[in-house]
Amino acid sequence: MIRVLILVILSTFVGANAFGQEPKPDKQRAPLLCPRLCPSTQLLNTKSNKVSKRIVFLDVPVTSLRKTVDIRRIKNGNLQLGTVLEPWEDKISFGPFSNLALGAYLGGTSVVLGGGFGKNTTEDTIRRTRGAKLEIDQSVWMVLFGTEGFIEQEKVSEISDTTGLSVNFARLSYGGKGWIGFKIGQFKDDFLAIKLGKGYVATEGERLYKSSSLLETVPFTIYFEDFDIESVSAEGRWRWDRFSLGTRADYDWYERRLISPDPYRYGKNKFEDFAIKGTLEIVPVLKFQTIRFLVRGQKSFFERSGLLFRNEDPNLQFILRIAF
Amino acid sequence: MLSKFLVFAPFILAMIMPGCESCDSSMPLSPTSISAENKSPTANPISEAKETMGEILGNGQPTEAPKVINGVELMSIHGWWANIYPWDYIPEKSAVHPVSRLWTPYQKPSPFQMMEQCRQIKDFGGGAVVLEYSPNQNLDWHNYWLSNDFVNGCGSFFLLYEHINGTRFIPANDGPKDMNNPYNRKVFKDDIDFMFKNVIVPYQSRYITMNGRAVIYMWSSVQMTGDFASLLLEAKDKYPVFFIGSEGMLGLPKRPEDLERVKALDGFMEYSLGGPANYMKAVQDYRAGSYKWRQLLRNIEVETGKKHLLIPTFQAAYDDTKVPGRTNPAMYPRSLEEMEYHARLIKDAMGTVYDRVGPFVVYELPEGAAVIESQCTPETVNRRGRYTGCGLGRLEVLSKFFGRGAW
Repeated sequence: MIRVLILVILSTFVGANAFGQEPKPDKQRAPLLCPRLCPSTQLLNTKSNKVSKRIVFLDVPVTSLRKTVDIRRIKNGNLQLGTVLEPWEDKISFGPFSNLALGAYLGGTSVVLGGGFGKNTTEDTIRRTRGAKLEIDQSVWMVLFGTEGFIEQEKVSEISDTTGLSVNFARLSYGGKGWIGFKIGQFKDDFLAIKLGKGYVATEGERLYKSSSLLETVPFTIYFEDFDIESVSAEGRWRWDRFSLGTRADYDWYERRLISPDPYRYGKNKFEDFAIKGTLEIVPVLKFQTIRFLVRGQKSFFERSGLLFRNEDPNLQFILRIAF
Repeated sequence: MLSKFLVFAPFILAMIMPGCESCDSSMPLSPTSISAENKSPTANPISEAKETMGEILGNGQPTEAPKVINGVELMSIHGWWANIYPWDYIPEKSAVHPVSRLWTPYQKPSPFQMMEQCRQIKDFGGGAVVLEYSPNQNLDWHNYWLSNDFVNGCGSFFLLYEHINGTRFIPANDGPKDMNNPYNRKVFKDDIDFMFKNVIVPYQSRYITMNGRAVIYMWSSVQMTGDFASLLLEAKDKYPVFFIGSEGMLGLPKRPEDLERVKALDGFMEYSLGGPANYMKAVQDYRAGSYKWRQLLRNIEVETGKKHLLIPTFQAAYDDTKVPGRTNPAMYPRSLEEMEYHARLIKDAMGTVYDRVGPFVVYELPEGAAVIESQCTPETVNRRGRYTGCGLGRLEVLSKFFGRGAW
C-alpha cells in the first residue's frame, strides 16, 4: 500500500503517469510546446473523449479513519496546549459518513461541500463528530479567488466517571479563509493553481458534568483560542483515459490573537502546518464511468497542529467517487 | 544603690508577672503594649514601639529588611489551606458548632484545642493554615497567636491580614478604606512593617513564601479604594512580601484604579463565593467567573510580563442567619453530591483556570462555612434538601478531592 502511495506522490511530482503507464501517443494530445498545463481551451479539445469530464461528484470514504487528538489530552483537560505536550494525534474511525464531499465544477467555478457525522465508541468513551465545510473557487481568466468556511463539533461523553459524576467534553471550531491566486487550465480538466490566503479560526472547549442526582449543571468553558491564518497552496490535476492524478500542497501559518505568555499554560503563539496530498483517481470500467475509486495519500511535515481545530484525513485513504 | 536597683528591679518584675496577658502594659515591645484604653482608635502603636526600641537600642537607625524570606515555598505545598481564627465561639451566633474537643463555647481555642485542630486538618489532607491576624493591638490577636506559638502544630502558615474590621484605618470597621488618605496610607505601611518584623521574620522557617516573598492575604482588597496600587508597590519595594487579594470573581474590574490595584496585587483568592442562596448556582457562577478572571490575568501578563496566581476557594456552605443585623439567605448544598460537584469543578480547573495550589477553605463559624468537625444537633443535622456535612462530612469531601491520595 505504501508503494502505491509513494508512486502516486512521486508520479505526481515528476508529471509521469502512475504505475508506469505512459500516455498513449495520441494525435489529440497537446504538442510539447504547449504542455498539459496550457491554459487555453485548446487543451480541452486535445484530450481524449473516452473519459467524460463529469462535473458533479460525491465522495464517500471507504476507509473511515480520521486523524484527531488523542483522547488522553481531552481527559486531562489540556487539549488547548496543542503540540506542546505529548501524546497529540490519534487515528480513530468515525464511521462511513464522517467525511463526505459533494463537489461540482461549473465553468470557472469549483464548489465543494464537505462534512458529515460519525461516532466512535470505546470501552469508556463515546466520541461524536459532525461538521461541514464549504469551499468555493472562482477563476476569471487566470485570476483565481475563493473562500472556505467550516464549522466542526466534537463531543466526548463520559471522559471520566470516578466520583459518580460523568464528565462530557465538547469542542466547537469554526473559521474561514479567503484567497487569491492564479490558475491555468480548468477545474474539470487539467489545471494548476497557486493561492495565497488569509483567514481566521477559533476553537472553544467545554466541559459538562452530569449525574442523576445533580440538577441544573451547566457547561464550563475550558478554553477559547483564536488564531489568524496565512496560507500558501498549490494544487494541480492531470487527467488521462483511466486515471487522473491530483496533488495539493498546503502551508499554513497560525498566529494566536490573544497572545499566550506561557506555552505550558495556554499553548504556543505561533505554529505551522505543511502537508502534501496526492490523489489517484481510477475509472475501472470505461463504459460505466459513474463509479470511480480514489486513493489519497497525505504526508505531513510538521506536527499537525491544525488538529487543535478539526479532524483531518488519515495518511492513506480509499474513496468511492460517484460522478455525474 | 542604683546598681542594686537595676539588678533587682527586673527580677522583681519577672516574679510578679504571671502571664503574657499582663505583660503588655509593662513590656514596650509586646504587641499589645499600647493600651487600648488610653489610646484613640487611630493611635499608631508601631511608631511608639519603634521609638521605644530606638531608646533601648540607643540609635535611631532603621533596621534593614532581609531581601528574601527563607520560608516554605507556596507551590511546594500539597493539600488544602485552612483559614483559622483567634475568635470566641459564640453558639448563639454560629451556624456551625464545633465538637468540644476542638473549641469551647465562649472561648478562643485553647493551645491544646488548636493543636487538635491542626492534627485534624493534617489528618484530612490540609497542607497549610492561614491565620486570621490583625496588627491592631486593641484586638489582642497577636498575643493569642504567640500563646499558640503561631500554631506550630499546623506547620507552614501565612497571615490573613484583617484590613476591614477592627482596624486602625478610617473607618475602623466595615466599608471601603480610602487609600488616598495619608493617614490610612501610613497605617497600612505600619501594619505591614509590624507583621513583617513580628511574625514573618521570627517565624520565617514556617512562613509560606512565593519566590522568597512572604505571602500576605487581604480578604477584601476590593475595598481598598483610591490609589492602593502605589502603596502595594511601595511595600513590596521595601519588604519581600507577596500580596494575595480578593476582588470578587463574579465581576471584572472596570475602573482604572481597580485595574491598577489588580495589577499591583500578586495573586487572588476569594474569601467567600458570595452570590445567591442556591448553592449550585453559586459554585457554577464562581467557576465561570474564575475563567473570566484567568483571561484577564492572561492579558495583564501579556501587557506587563507579570504572572498572577489564581487560587481556588472551597465553600461548604454559607449561613450567617445567626449573626445579628444580617439578612442574607442561608446557602447549603442540597446533597453531598452538590458539595462534591463544587470540589470537582475546582479540582478539574487546577492547572488551567486556577493554579495548582489550595484550595483555600474558611473555618468561620458565624458564616457557617467552617469545615471543622461539628456537632450534629437537631438544627444542624443533614436533612432532605439540605446537606450540612455536620460531623466530619465536609472534611471528608476535602480529603477525597484534595487530600494526600488525591494529588
